[in-house]
Amino acid sequence: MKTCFVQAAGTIELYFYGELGEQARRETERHLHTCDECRQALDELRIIRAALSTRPDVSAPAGGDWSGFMARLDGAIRQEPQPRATVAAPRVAPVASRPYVADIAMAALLALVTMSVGYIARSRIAAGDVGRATIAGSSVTAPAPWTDDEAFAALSEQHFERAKLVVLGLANKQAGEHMPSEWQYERELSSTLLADTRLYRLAAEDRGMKPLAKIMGDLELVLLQASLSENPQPDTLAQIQNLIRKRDLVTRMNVMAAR
Amino acid sequence: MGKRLVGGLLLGSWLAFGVPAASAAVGWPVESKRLASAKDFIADEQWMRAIEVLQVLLRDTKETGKDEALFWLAHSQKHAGDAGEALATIRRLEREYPSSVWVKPAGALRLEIAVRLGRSDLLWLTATPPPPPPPPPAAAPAVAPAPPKARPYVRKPAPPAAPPPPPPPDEPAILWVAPAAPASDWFPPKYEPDSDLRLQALRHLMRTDPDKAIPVLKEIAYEPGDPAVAGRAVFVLAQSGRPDAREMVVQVAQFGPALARVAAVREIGRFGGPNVSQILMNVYPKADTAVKTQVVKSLGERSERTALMTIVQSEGDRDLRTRAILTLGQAGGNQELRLLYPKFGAEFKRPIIQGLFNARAVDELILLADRERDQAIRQELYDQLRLLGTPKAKAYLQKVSVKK
Repeated sequence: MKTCFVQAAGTIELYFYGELGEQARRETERHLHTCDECRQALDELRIIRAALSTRPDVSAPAGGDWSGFMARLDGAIRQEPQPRATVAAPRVAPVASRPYVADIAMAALLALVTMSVGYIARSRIAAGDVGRATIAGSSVTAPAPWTDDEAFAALSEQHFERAKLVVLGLANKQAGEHMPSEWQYERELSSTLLADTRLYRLAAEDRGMKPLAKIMGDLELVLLQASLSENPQPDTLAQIQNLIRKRDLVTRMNVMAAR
Repeated sequence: MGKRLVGGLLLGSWLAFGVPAASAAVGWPVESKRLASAKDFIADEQWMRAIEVLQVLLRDTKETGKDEALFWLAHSQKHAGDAGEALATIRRLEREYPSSVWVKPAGALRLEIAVRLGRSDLLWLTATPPPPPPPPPAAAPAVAPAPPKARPYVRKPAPPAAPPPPPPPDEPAILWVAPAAPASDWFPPKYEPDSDLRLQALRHLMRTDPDKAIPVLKEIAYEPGDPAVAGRAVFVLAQSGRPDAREMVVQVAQFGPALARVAAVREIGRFGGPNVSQILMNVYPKADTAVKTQVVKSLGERSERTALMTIVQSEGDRDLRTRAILTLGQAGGNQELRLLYPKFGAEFKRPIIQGLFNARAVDELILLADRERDQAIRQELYDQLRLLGTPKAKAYLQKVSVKK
């Protein structure tokens, strides 16, 4: 959960990508001196950049024409019912009755929206206009005393945030293009996360939170394979990446965290 | 789009053909095609097809990586509902590859099967394994042998097996198993479960036999060594929802070893109920800096503003007070921070301004900017208003600049 307004508004991302004006950059730097959360967010962005540094760039549409993409996105949004975020529903709603296809559609839509928001934010916000960037952010959340299930869902969300860094790193890693010490670090991280993930999965099963338990189970398999691979053999890495892709792990973790 | 399609095809071809060729060229051991194929089926949850491929692999004498194949076979058999076969496969893995890294995850798999069969006796064997037999006495010892080292835990008598719980509705029923099989059929002769396996067993025993499980969990939380293990032990206690287990978590928070205390406070912060703030405030006075920091964090997550304000007013440590101020802002404590502002000098006014910024408290920031006489601090208030960038903040900054 993002509690700092600066981070929630995406200012740290703009700072990281060098898209702030001089004054805004200075203000953000001052803010970073006092805000642990934003510093952590900045560190995470740097880790992700390091993980992605070996990947080829994804090319934009020819001539930078995003109109086709935006039209499809608008169409998808029009077809979507009212936003779920406005409904005061339990954090982890039972989804046994929800068709599998609907979940996939929701995941795909979320990915599209995330991509488009990121693109629009980065392309439209003029350098230095931090005000507009920050006003677009969500409000500061003030959680009321929670139930045990809500607390567990929040805990899972935090766990997914940590695990996502590892999963994204694995999904984007290219065999043979990283240092052994780097892989060793990821293995250790996976190993630590694995023990927690197993406990959380079992706890989610006990609580009847089946969708959450399923994602935890898939995450557990990915972490298990990463933690037991002594050296990053291309085949092993490809299998892990295959599992992440087939189980649609990153998107499902995002969808669960967004509930 | 065409560019992307071509890129995708190239990447796909590389994954399909380039990787094995490249790895063979540089001398990496290439993963068995059968194992790769089986894992592919597993990723698709096609358990029976995975089992078929893995069984062919295990029969082929030329294949390598059979320890991993045995793990995935047991995994697939468990998911296919064949617990008896899964157990047999796990035992084979332990027998043929006792030092394989796949033995530990296979042990976790076995415990899940034991849980589904309601074999509490086997779970107890894991939670409190018997100490290893003493070494045979020397023929003629010159000096009296030293007394044996105290074991960190002692096996307790295993309670009778509870009736098996009904399987979860989304999992297939177990097809075959020997429910009464003795422990020797389940475990290797030298069964030495690690902390994670013990905790996995205790997690279930908390539901069937909590009076005996709680002290063992406390023991693990108090054991020196890996703080993550202590944290997991506290997590298992806290998640049970039992009042006596939660009381134990509070005890660990007050009297446990340093790192376990932090974990316990974190778990208390996640308790449901109205008196959590009071529990955390009872822990605070005698806590060290790490525990106090976690108390502040937990109070912030729960938006316990009154408790945070108490800490801001009473805490003597500068860093902790600053942290409490910032957390109060994150918890939306606009009024509280505005009231605190005049009581402090510049040292704490800055974090209060930052806290108000985190709370998006435009009104309060404007109020303080109007009253602040220190030019440097006033400038900071302006900076934060500019960063907030709301229409009201912009209008105020405009007005101020005109006055200048």
